[in-house]
Amino acid sequence: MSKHANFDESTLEDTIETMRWLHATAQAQPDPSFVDHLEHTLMSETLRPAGSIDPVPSPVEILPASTGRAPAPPFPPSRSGWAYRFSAFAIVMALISGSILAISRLEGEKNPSPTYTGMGAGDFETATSASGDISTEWRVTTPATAMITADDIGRTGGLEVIGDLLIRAWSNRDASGLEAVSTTTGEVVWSIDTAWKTASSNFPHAVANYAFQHDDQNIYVLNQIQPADETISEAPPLALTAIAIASGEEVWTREFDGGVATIGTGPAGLFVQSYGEGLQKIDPTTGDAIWTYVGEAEISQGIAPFSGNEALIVVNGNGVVSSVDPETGELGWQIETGHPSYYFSIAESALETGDTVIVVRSVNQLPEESEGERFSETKSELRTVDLETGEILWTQTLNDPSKGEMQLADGMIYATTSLVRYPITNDAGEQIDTGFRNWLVAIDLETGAEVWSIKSDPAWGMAFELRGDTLIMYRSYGAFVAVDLESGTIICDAFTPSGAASDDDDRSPDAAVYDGEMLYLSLGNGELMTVDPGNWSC
Amino acid sequence: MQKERGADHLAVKTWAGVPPPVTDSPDAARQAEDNAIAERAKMRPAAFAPLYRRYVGPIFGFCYQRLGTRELAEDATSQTFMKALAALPNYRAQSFRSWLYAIARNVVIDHHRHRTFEPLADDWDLPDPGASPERNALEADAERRIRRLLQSLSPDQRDVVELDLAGLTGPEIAETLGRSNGAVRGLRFRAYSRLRELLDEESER
Repeated sequence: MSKHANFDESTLEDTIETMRWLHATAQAQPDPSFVDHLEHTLMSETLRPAGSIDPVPSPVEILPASTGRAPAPPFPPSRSGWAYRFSAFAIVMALISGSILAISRLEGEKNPSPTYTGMGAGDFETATSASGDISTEWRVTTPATAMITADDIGRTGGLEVIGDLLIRAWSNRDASGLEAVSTTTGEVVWSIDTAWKTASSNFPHAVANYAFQHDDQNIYVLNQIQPADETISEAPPLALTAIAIASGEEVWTREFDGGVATIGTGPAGLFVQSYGEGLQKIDPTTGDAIWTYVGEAEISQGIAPFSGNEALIVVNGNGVVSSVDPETGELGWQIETGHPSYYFSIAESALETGDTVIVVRSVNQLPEESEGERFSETKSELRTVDLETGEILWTQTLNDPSKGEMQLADGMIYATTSLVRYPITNDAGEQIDTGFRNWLVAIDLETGAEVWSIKSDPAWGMAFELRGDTLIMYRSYGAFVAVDLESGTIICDAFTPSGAASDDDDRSPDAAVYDGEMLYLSLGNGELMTVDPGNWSC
Repeated sequence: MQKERGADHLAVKTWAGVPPPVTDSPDAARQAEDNAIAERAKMRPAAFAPLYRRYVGPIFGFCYQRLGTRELAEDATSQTFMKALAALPNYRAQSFRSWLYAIARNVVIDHHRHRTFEPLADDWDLPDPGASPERNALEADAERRIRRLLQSLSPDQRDVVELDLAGLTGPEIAETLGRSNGAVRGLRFRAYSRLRELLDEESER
């Protein structure tokens, strides 16, 4: 174990408390006139990309009716005089107390009580002990000591095995790049610096958090083209670049009106949603549009199109799911999920294998207002939908804050949940604390019945892959888990070997991918390595 | 493990004697809400206002800690939120707070790059003269002490401690700094160990 793995906060508790007290005492608060002025300035800005579909509301709309604030005063106001000082202090205190109240209402007991079905209390699954005796075929240190990219549900989309190459997309605050490594030898086949297209180091996340997409020929990455004068008054729109998998050479770069919102690839092709041009099917060899969908439904800015052999599923921000013909761009069926969803996923494996049923999962967690109180409501729904007709076969409400992964195989749905709250009770059955656990649950596709579930420590990752009768889940802190799909039992729970970095904790893989035979890890110190899982009975 | 469940799994369950699950951890709930608001703001920029109100104070405090004067802190805070709002359509980070602090940190670094000198202690703003003398003395002393302590750390350690004091979680600090969780834990451990030594030395004087 690392020398820091058992970091015991209690040993430094006094120091941390002292620092927190000093920090709180010395903490400067902004002048309220500055706060108001900046808010007014921000909300007066029209920062929407040109051609954006959504109208920009006037600044008046954002002011809560109850406050009815007048336009911000000119800034800076006079800061001299006791009256100003006193009123400023009073306003700051009022704002602070108001903010605390507001935030506590958002996070605290004013929340309605979402509940979820299934996954009730029970004994915790005890994982097998970690093992350090794992076979490694090769291990290379790459120049890039950077975080791997990942999508917003923890899937490590920045690491993929494509053919005999392991492709890694990385980024840190100074640079970003792509590299291809031979899966058999670990040799770096090509490496490219993509920093020339990033906007600036002021936008470290602009590229870092995009996982790449790919088809048989190309990798597709989103990028921001640096303004010529290097001044950034607003985020440059995202362009799309195709990079040849075999050589790492740029095939084409295309800018879209308003910038790219999402991309999706699959057997039916490459699909792009842009803010100004809507949904398009793109020719992967040229970047030209094959067709453009012009529908009434607005595009979603965060939900990529899902495509299969003969299906293309598009979801808009209002929760409308549409089936579009991937060959012609014509609308097929549409269904309403009933509420806008900030997260949406479809078990893509069903689309790729040509199943006639798809599983749709939507999560809505938006601040709501009722009788003057603000609260946060989470609603998560699982649906099966007939791919041909759009008929909803069954709906199950999960009502947990899950954005976890979901896959479909052999008539079963496998889904992860995150941070489900459960009560910790004493011997008398009284609740003494609250704990949080993640879950992996197997659900019968036909009936919606839960077949088995596993709960574990919060360290459970949410990314997993199905390989035959084994499910491989990537855990945080350098561990991975294999689960027997039939029985729902953990058959392997192991740590990666210690890294060669100066800090042992850097061994934690930022990403892991399994190609059916070998597990490939990208470690926090920039290393890439293989782990032979054997029969997973570790 | 095989747990067969009947049709009752579809019903809402609660545990006897305890309230039903209400939400996730405060940090996770705040993060989820931030992300939900950010997603909404992507489609409707005006919806950014709650995020601004939630973070303008902490971001100002963070900038002030690093820059030392109200004028510079206000400038950096303005730049941070302008850039955040402009970049919001492309926001994909796990934590909005991490993302915002990463922008603020870069703005502060840019400020330092364009300055010809580091602020000396006397250059820092005096506490508010409108406050009581006792309060002023306390704040001034705390400010001097924390500044001296933080300056004794390596830049990496200082980054971690300042974000830690700002309330960010370990994973959020890692995301802000582009480091692994393990590296952040190590830096945090070493930083607070060093600070403990310094505080012990202070108390022995």
